[in-house]
Amino acid sequence: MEEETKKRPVKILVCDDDPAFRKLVQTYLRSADMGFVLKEAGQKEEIQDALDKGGIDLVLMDILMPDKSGIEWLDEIVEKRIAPVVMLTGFGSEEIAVQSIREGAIDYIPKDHLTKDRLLSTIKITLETWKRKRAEEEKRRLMEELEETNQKLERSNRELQDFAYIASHDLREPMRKISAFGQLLQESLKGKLDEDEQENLAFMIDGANRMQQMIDALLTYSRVTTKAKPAKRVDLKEAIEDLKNVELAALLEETEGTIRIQKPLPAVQADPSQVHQLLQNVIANGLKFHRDGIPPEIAVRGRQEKDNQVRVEVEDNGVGIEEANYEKIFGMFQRLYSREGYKGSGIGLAVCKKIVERHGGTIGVNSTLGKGSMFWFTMPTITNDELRITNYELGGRMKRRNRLIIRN
Amino acid sequence: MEELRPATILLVEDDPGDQKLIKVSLKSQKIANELYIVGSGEEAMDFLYHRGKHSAETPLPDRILLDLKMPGMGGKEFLRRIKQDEKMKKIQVVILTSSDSEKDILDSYNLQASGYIKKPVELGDFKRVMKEIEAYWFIICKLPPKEE
Repeated sequence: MEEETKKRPVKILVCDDDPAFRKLVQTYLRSADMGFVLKEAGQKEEIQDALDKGGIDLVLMDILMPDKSGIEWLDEIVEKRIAPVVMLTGFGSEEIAVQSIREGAIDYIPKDHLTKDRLLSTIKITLETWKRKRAEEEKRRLMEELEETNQKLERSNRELQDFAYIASHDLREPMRKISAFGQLLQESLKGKLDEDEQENLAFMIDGANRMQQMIDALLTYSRVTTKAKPAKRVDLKEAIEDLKNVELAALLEETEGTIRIQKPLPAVQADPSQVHQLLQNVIANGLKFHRDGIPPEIAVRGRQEKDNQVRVEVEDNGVGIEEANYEKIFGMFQRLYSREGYKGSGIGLAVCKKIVERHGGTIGVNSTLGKGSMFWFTMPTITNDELRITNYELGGRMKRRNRLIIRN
Repeated sequence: MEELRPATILLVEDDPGDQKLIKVSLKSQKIANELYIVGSGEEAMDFLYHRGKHSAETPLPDRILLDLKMPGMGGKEFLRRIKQDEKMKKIQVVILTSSDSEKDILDSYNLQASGYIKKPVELGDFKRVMKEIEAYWFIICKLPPKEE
């Protein structure tokens, strides 16, 4: 409180219709020499005036006031959160004193027990309680605000996802028409257009086709969240064998590439089709971006990390990536090379990032230009539900241990 | 021996662009089956039951090419209804849609569609798909009567 008073004098409003009692309070406060500023009010109008002017830090309120009772004033002050209230009660009014506490008074002092010490200690405690209460209220308000903002964000995020999905879905059809009818024109006008006109038409169709691919890519990207499936145990080795035999078979043959699994790979808990997609995209990149004349060699290894995470590394001997582009490659439609050089939607790694982050992991790359890249990502080895159960059990054990400590 | 008779086809497709694309693609594959075109599930029902502007007694089509996503009665609802009708349910229905969602494929299968084809983007592919559709008995073969 001393600190308080240094900053700004504490302004106390004494509401009592008895001038002698107000005088007594004034004497006590002045003799304390703590820089209290006292404002006295005996009439209804004076109290109202003082409250309206503001700047009051504490109210001492007599329960028995003419025109408007102390409890009525209390209700008003509490409701408007003006300042903490200490009630001044007469002889035998214990019951009403207790009622005033229920209605929000911080404390009360029986008038016949009023001493300087009692007054000063009550003021000190009341100011501290008020400060704490205000802080708690503020915290609660902030928490509520946070919760509300969270809900709003979640809602708008969901809307945005739905929008992306619907938009890309509905955009596909008109694009397909532009492309198809463009091609029809190309056929029917064959031989009738000069070179320049042919080129224009070809540009138009090519643009439509690319747009189509981008829309498909957007759809794939938004499906990571809109079409997510529950997590299951996924054997990474099996997943890679599947990819070798099916999805990546053509690319492996075309590039004469190889995929080596270096250590027994741990299993992860994740959406199985998303794990497939993730591995497929990362490995396909390694195969595609090989150096001229050097068949791609992909090495996959994994290790268990603490916190129920597994770290998977996919290393290639390809063209490599400059450090300045480490972040960029995980963005949407980011390409480091021309479309002619390397085919693809330009969205593969963005999808990977989204899949990994959706599962609470991280993804990144280390690379040496002209030597190769090492993509790594982390994935949970345990589902969120299991994690919650484990945490709960841990919490329970902690509590039991604490109890033991207390007993000792 | 009875002659082969080409199947008649009813195309249920709301998009005029796709109507034309399908027509052109069929023609490009020299598939000259008689083709009726309706623009909605409701109109297809009218066509089959000779109602409204289709009150003329057109014989039932042998095949139906059915789009799924149409305003009003969608393809699935149309399919569900005709598969409940003893007279209609023998008509082979091939789904021709832009959707490749698992749900649409599974639903169509469960509703006893005879086939499911996603509309391709490339015109060449689109035309080739018409050849695939032709495999759904576009030429009806009637068995010759038993010889004595």
